[in-house]
Amino acid sequence: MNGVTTEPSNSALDSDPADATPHAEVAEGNSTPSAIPEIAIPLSIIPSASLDASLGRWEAFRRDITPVLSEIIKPHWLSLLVPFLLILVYTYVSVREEWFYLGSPVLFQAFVPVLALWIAWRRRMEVVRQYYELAFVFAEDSPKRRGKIWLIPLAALTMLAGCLLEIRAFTVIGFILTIIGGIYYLFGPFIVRSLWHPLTFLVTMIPLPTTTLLKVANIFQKGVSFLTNFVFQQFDKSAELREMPGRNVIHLSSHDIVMTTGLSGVTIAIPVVILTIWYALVRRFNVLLSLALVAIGFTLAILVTILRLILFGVLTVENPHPWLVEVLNWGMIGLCFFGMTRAAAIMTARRTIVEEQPVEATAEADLEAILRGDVDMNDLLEGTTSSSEKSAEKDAGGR
Amino acid sequence: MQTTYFRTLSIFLSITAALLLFMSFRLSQRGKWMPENLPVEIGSWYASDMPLSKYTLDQLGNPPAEGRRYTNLFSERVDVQVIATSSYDAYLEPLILFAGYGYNLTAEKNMDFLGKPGKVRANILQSSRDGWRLIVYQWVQFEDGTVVPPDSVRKISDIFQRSKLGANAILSGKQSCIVRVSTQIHPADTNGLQSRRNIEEVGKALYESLRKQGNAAAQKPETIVGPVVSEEGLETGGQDVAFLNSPTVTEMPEKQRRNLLPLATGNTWEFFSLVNYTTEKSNDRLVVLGPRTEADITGIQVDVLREGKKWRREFYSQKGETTYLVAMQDETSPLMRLHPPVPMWKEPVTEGDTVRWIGEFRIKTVQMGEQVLPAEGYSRISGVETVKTAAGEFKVYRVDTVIVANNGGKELRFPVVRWLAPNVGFVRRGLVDKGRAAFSDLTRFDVQ
Repeated sequence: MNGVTTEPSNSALDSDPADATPHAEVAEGNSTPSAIPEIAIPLSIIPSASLDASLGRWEAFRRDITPVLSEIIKPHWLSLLVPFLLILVYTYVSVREEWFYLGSPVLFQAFVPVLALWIAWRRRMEVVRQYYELAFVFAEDSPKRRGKIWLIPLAALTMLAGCLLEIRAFTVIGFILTIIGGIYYLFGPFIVRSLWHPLTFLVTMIPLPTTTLLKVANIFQKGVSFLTNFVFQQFDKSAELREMPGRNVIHLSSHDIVMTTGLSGVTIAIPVVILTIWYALVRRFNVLLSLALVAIGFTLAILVTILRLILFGVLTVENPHPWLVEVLNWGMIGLCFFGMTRAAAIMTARRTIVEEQPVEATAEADLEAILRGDVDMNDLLEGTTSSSEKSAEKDAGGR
Repeated sequence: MQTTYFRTLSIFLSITAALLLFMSFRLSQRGKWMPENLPVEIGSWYASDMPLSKYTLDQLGNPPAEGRRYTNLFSERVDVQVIATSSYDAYLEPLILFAGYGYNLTAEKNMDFLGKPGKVRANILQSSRDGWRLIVYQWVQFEDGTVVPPDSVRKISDIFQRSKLGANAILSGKQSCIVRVSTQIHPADTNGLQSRRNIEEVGKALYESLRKQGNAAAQKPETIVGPVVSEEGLETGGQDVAFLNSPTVTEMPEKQRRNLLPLATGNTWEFFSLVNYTTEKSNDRLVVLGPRTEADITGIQVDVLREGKKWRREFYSQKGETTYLVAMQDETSPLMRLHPPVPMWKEPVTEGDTVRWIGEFRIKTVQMGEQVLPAEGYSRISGVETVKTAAGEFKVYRVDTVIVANNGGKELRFPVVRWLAPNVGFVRRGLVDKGRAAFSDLTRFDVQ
């Protein structure tokens, strides 16, 4: 594997198929690589540094990302990247008013692409492996390796409709379809399937209708007001919940607390739930465990919201500054997320240790074996024998 | 092979990005035109600021907007809103056009009261609380003077209307604003004719003012892409479509449009009067005493006797085809002379005729001596009605007259409504008697 990650691959757009084979140097002396057709995913994307325990996390990441960045500045990738970045910027600019305002409960949606990208980065090993397997078995223009273009015009139409009608949900749906359609068209259905976790997670960036958000915020306001008031009544008998049109007020003997959207907990609970889903996807938790974690995260969000209101009650803070509320909200989101991850660690302690590491190591070894030509691709695809096992057997035989 | 895939995808993405940028740029250019100077005075109408409420502006996406209330000497009001079309939300119609906001939409029609520039949309709304009606004219005015009825956006999520508006903004790129003019229809205003005259008088002046402020560069004729509003379904009107139907003017033979007030000496009219609606009743008698000169005025004196006692007197004059009010006096006040005399109508009369007067109000008292107050008057033939009284049924012209004098900043208002039948004269009178509404109906008359 050494050397593979540091060798920049040739452009896949080059007309000469021999030059276009990015791993030609690595494959020198082996017969198998010549059967692998030209590829679009750079071989250098295969992580190795991240598996090197002697490197720090940042150092490993830096070493893994460098060849990827050097690959995507090549003309064929740039020709996609430039218009895609324009579309990305357009999407953010058009949805800015729905995401970026003080007390926005959906600010996290702006970061969803980054979170999805992180899931994809974590899956890069499997994606590359899948790509090479397909490249080995199927011809370059096989429907297994290339998709139809129809998703791209559909995405374009959706985005244009979103622009024309000023319906932001359409714009974001179009943006997501552009990503899915692009991957599908370039790499086919199997790669899309192997990336279904990050691609599905992108759905959480679709803006919700304002009326729905208001309804949710209203439910939170009522629910949290009721619970907080119940707690206050245990200490202050004069505590009273006053329901007013559009807001609730907790009347205390010393002062009133006006339940704004920022204080209602909606701005904490929604991001915490989404972050929990993201965490579950990153860690590949099963549905049951994921739901349990969502419930834990949600409960924590409600608890910290009530605790904050109690703190405001004790400190007689009547109308906290919106910026203070915003900063506190993000602190509490971090707190809830931390609590949820601790809960996840307790619940999955054994599996995390036993299962996760070998998966990546096996895949890594499999790929390395393929490239070295030490393993029969057919055996690998049939799944009868792990290539790493075979490789180990071969090494043992050689000795 | 790879080249083809990358190139194809790149072309698709580039076209999409380019279209998005172009469309969003064109859409961002909407609402750049907001006329700043709405007329302060339109004929006898005076404007006062009436900004849109914060709630309304929030609903409309906070576009630049102006609101005015035009009030005339009869205290009739015409409300005007001019809203920049900076977003689709700006097209959202006033809440009163929605069900559940206290009004029912009872008629809707596209009207061409502006003529060549284009049609406007007219709505009649009836209050579910008191039954009063409201008439609303709406149009989208482009800076080159073109006018189209606004899209009927009654839901934010009206995708069909949004796409039409968006396509128009992107392809045409012309600046525009939404104009809404509305007024209440008085229950006594048959078929809302006077209200329509009011709204159209203000509306036309407003249109002209906006047109003049339009960008001179946009004066060149440019076709608006596609009809902005479909007229389907509008022409059917609604239950109150009579309020919007033509003709505005009731045509009568010329003979029946003359001699509205026969003032031969000795002519008498007897009335049964109600003051303050029902609380006070009286019998009044109007007698033409003939030409008289008093102080610096000369006119035909008409005395009003209440229960046989002298109560009021009025001086009229008729020069050529015009009838003037020269002076008036009631039992408690000195003679109020109008200089020059106030023209009330010119024969042959036509429904909708208006006369404006600016002059002086002269009063002479022992304590104060001669007082001269600046004054303004307005008289109009506001409708042709059929009035049934104890003396019979008459086809009459309703003549609204108001005189307002300015006494050191304090307004003295003298509104009078006269229902006059040709060759008969007074059939009904309505006036303000010591601050209370008083109506008199004809019971008997003797006219030469």
